[in-house]
Amino acid sequence: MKVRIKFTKEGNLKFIGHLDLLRLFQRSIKKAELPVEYSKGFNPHQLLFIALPLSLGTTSEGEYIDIELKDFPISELEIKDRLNSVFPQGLKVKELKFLKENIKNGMAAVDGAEYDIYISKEKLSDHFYQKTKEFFEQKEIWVEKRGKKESKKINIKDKIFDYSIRENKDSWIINLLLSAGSKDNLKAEIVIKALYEYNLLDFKEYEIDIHRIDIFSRIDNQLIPLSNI
Amino acid sequence: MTKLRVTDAILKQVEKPARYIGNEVNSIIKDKDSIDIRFAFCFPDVYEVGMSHLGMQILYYFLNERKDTYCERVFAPWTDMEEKMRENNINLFALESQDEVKGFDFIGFTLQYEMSYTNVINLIDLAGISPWSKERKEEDPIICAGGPCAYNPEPLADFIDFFYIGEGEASLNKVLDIYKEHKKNGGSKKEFLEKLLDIEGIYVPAFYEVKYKDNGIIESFLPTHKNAKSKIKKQIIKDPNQSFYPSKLILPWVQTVHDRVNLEIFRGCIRGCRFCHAGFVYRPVREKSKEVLIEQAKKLLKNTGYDEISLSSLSTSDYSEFESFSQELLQTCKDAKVNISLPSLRIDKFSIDLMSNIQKVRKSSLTFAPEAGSQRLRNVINKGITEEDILKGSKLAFEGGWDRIKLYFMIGLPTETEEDIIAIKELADKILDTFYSIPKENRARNAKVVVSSSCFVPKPFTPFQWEAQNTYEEFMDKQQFLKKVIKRKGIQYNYHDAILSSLEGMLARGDRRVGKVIYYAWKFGAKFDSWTEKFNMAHWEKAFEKSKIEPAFYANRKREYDEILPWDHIWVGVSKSFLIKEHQKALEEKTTPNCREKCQVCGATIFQGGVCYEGTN
Ligand code: SF4
Repeated sequence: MKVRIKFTKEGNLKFIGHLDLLRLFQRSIKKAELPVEYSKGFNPHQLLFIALPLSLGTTSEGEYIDIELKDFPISELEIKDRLNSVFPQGLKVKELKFLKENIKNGMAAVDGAEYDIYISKEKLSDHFYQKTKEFFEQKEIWVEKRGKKESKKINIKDKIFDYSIRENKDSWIINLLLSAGSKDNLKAEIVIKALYEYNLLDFKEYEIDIHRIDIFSRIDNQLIPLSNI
Repeated sequence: MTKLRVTDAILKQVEKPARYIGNEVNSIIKDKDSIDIRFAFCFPDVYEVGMSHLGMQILYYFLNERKDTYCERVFAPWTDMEEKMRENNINLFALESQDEVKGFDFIGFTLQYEMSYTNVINLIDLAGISPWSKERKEEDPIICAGGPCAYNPEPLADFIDFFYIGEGEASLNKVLDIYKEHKKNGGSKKEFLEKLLDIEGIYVPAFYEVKYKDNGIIESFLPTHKNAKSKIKKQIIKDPNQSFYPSKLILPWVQTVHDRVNLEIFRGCIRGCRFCHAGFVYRPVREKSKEVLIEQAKKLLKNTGYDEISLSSLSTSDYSEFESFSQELLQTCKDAKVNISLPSLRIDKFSIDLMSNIQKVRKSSLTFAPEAGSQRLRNVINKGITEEDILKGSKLAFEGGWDRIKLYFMIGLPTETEEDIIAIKELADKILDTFYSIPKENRARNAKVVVSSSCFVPKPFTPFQWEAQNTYEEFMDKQQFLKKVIKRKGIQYNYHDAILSSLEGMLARGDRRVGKVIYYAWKFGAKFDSWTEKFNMAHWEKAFEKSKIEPAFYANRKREYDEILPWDHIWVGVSKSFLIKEHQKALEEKTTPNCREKCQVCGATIFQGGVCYEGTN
């Protein structure tokens, strides 16, 4: 039986990389004494599928992992409680449910992701709000994509499904809904870098905070959170 | 969530930021207000290296058993982080509370290898404290050190307030009890150190004076305080079945070399290989019972969620109930879907069967450590493995499907001649011949023999403590020679530049004066010396010049038996007369039976436990 888990990765846990997170899940599942299924073959590993790797330094309130468990009598609530009791601070199961057999695993299901990007007002001019609107309203948005050998220019406009901008005392907060998944993945930091360049600002990735809100799948032309499938 | 000492912006710019955040699963967070003693346990290397070290984890839990003590971990920040810390005036901090260690009661270093000494100094400095004990202020923490290198404490004697000689579990509690009392009543640091003189196993270098002869040799080494002991007796636990062992391990955030449960099955070693420091300083062998081990294994697996367990000891096959224990462990692990890894196994029929049983995966290479190529030289070093053992073991391994044999040797052992080096090549040849003598259908298609050599470093408390180490040039010549004679396809030869071994040779048998070299090397930029990409001999060369110290005096000089050695005031149990006897037997190419075959009355009976009292001898 397969379970889909929606979890948060917040606070200092943003500094745990993708592979280290996966190891943490492996340990936690064993600690929680959940009978996980293993892959066949030379080097059996637990059948775990993280939907969309999160960049180091990014927090999230909407991460997903699918776990293949052996059939055994247990409730969704019990699995959730067991995992939460072994997780470190910052990692928390929000929702958990059994999946129907025919549902696509992790990555294959992903089409979009939503982010809040916090940019400190400190170094920004008063025109930033206006310029940001202008930037996103352009017909085309070209960015340089660095490949292994040469870099090429690509237009990311179609991959930005939606945007908005709001503020709090210290920061501008840009909300982005971006194309994501194995086919067409657009990272939030690429968009912000282009925005900075448009504003003639020097972009330093470590100066902004990125927070992922949720991950979506496209069903009947609608983006639906993975937890609602 | 703990507020981090370092800003997010900095953490986002350094490699593996998880090294600096703490709060791992199974780490301990305490309420600082209900604590009397803050102890910063410091491993002078980067997080992943320190976190794979079992001893540190044992002592971490041991100290935190005390309600009045909060033991936290400190590692050496990697150079990218150090740069940021110095740039932003951030002092060294402990992982758990993220507080500066400058405000702690103790900073305790574990000294695992000599090449970490510049890191020790660097860390004290990074904490915002003077590395020199005598320059430190009353409010600075007390800096102590222990671990295998503390058996010759002299090179760091001017930087460390006191050394703890032996196993922490044995009497570290006494130190903390005295400290707590002292802190309550008020008193100077010096007064506290004086109180420590009453406890066995504590060495306070400030209460001793060394005098040297004109030729540089120690003339006298004498206590300057009436309570300072003339011999500092190693402290060990008598019975590991009764002593503390943690039921948990901290799960490191970042992948480490040994990312698994490490179960210590015994301490010490019965063998007495004459080059081996651990084989003498950890005497006598003390085993845990099978029942205790299985129990501990189950608990640790449950509390960590690891899917691999490794047995830790100096020579796993020497565990007295090894066959039945391994079968039982195998069963426990099968049930829990856990892999077993068995380092330092003697290769024989039993271990080959065992490994075939646990390694359902692809068979990787098998390792032998004959250490010397010829039987003559193996007798000199008392390495009780014969050519027959090796060839038999290899044959079994090849027939069992293995196709890669790794051989470990040492270059520069006492009495070594060209013939001994050629014998290394010949042994590798014979192993490959053995492979081809097996009918094709019973073995893999091809085999590889990988020969690796390291450079011999004479260590204190071994029968070779008086020997001259080969010079750098001698090491390099011998390696080149071996490289030239190994020509056959199917045999590969690996070796390292000998420079680190030469330095290690100087530090391992250094006296107090060597502290200056370490200090200057650090001043000139040396740190992370055990990391090839960070090591720079130029720093050390400048340090030799500046301190007017001749490294050859320490590394390449043969000592007389009656010379006062810098570590003579440390008492590890094993007596000097026994070491002299062993040294003479080595020169006569005579072997010595192991502790279980025939006790040699080495001196370790003073600890009143372990193999000396097993009743078999
Ligand atoms: S006293 Fe005998 S049994 Fe004990 S460690 Fe020494 S040699 Fe081994």
